[in-house]
Amino acid sequence: MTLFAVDYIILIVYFAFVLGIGWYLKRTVSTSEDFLTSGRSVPLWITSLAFVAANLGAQELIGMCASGAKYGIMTSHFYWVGAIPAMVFMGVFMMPFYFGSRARSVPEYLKLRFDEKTRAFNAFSFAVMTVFSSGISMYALGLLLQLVLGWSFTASVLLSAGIVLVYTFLGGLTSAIYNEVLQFFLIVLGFAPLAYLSVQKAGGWEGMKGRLPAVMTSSWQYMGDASQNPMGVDVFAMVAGLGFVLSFGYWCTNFLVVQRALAARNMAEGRLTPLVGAFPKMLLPLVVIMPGIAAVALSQMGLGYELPRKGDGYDYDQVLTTLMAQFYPSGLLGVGLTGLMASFMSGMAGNVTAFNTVWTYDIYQSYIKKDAPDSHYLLVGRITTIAGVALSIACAYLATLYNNIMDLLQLVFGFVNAPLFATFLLGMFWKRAAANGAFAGLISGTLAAAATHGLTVAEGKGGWIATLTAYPSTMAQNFWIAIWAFTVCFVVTVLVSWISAPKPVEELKGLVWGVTPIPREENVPWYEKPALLGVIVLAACLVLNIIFW
Amino acid sequence: MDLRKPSGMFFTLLGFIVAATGLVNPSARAPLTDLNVNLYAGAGMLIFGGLLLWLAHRASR
Repeated sequence: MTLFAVDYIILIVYFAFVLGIGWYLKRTVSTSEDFLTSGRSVPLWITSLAFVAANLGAQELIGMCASGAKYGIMTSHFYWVGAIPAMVFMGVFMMPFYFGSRARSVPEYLKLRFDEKTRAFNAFSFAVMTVFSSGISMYALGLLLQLVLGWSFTASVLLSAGIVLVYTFLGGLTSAIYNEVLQFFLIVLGFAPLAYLSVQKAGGWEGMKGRLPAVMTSSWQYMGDASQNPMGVDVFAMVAGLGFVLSFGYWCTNFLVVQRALAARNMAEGRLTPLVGAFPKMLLPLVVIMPGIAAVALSQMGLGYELPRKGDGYDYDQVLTTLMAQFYPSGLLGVGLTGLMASFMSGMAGNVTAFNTVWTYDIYQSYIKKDAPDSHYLLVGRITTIAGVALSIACAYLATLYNNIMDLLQLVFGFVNAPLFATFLLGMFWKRAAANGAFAGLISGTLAAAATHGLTVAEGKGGWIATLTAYPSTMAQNFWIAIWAFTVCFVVTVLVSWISAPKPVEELKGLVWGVTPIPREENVPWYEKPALLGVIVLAACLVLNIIFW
Repeated sequence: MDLRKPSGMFFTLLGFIVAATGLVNPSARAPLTDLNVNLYAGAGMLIFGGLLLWLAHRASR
């Protein structure tokens, strides 16, 4: 792939705009809350798109295209079974408690609902996870640019991380969120032409169906038994593991995305944020997964395109960039490459802004220095931003030891977010759930995740304690890790809560179902009613599942 | 800040650059494309950028 002057100009124009937005928003920051939580001032359309964009990092873009080529349209389950129902649940059922509690972060909600140790556990594990995630993302980008363009790994990592650092340092969360929207548009406009051109060249969806094995083009028909499909996952593991535990865990309790909804102006818009975001989210597979599937069809058409190889297997992570080289002339190639950069930056800025908030409020303010003036916490937030970026860079070099980015990420989520969703479910909907129960549940859930990984084997991974079961794929293994982590956390939380003293009901106001006022929407138009909007989203999602059945 | 303004400006500029590339070099093709994709994609970005600017302008009146 060769770049010309025009491609570099596009990249530079993009850098200038994101930095300019950060520079302009600098004036909106005068308190630590402005910097870390946007002071609850961001309009709905922006929070909804940022909610989707913060998750649309480079590893998502590259990984989804790679999975499309490896597994076919089954990859869409990450969206149409996973993300969408979870986003609806978040908007309709969970936002009232997040907003009602006035918590500034997910760990802070745990502090209010349960106790200090539960918060500490979540805050520390989350801080580690965000740094890790953004490091992996950075690694993916650096490696790809090195491979495709011959850029130095260190130079591209430092440049892109440096730009993210500057605009999040200047404008804080507002700057990250505003730029995420710009980046979201750029990702879609940069990759939609690729999806269109590659699918059209492969003969359209019907033509692809004719060329590819049926298992690549049907999302549900081969899910009855794990041995029938290349993912090695059956319906139960898919729906319970990915659809329920992992996705609900991610979209409902991961502060990275929750933070975007909490930046909304009021509870009504906070609830609508994931619901409005669900519409673009459910169309994304057409842009990010379809090119991967088309690539496999194209490789069989004798057009001179071949799937990228590494050793004696395929290198799926390179499918996206090899397609760009085939379909984008200089000019549009610059836009596609800039889109890739943009996706990296939106994912990284999401991690950095979540990290600095959790560190400043939930770790520093809670355990290191309690009663300092606000200007002190603003300074700490700014310093943490720099530290977060530096730690991410360190993790990028650590990530070079691992191979499949997506699998590793799922594994990390399995350890951190899967048990957490059980804690939130019980905490928000069961008044009796007690602090000791939640803490014991989280610890045992996390241990259960580690134990499942240690006792099962898939593709040579795991089994470091003993081998009780072998799964056909690491994906199946990850889904089962999540299922066990969730189940153990749920059961232990319930059992320990039964034998410990309940929290007085007065202290649960605004935190739990039944003692939290749920806003009534009698005088608002239909499109502002969360429940109704949720039903529309789910119906549309069902239609997509049926189309690609 | 009305985000529609800077993003509108960005995509108008981007669309202009890409469409101009398509006009200046209309025979540029990637290995598997048959059309002048720079021109069409650039025009699409121009329209999108213009739409954002128009929305921002309408809101500020």
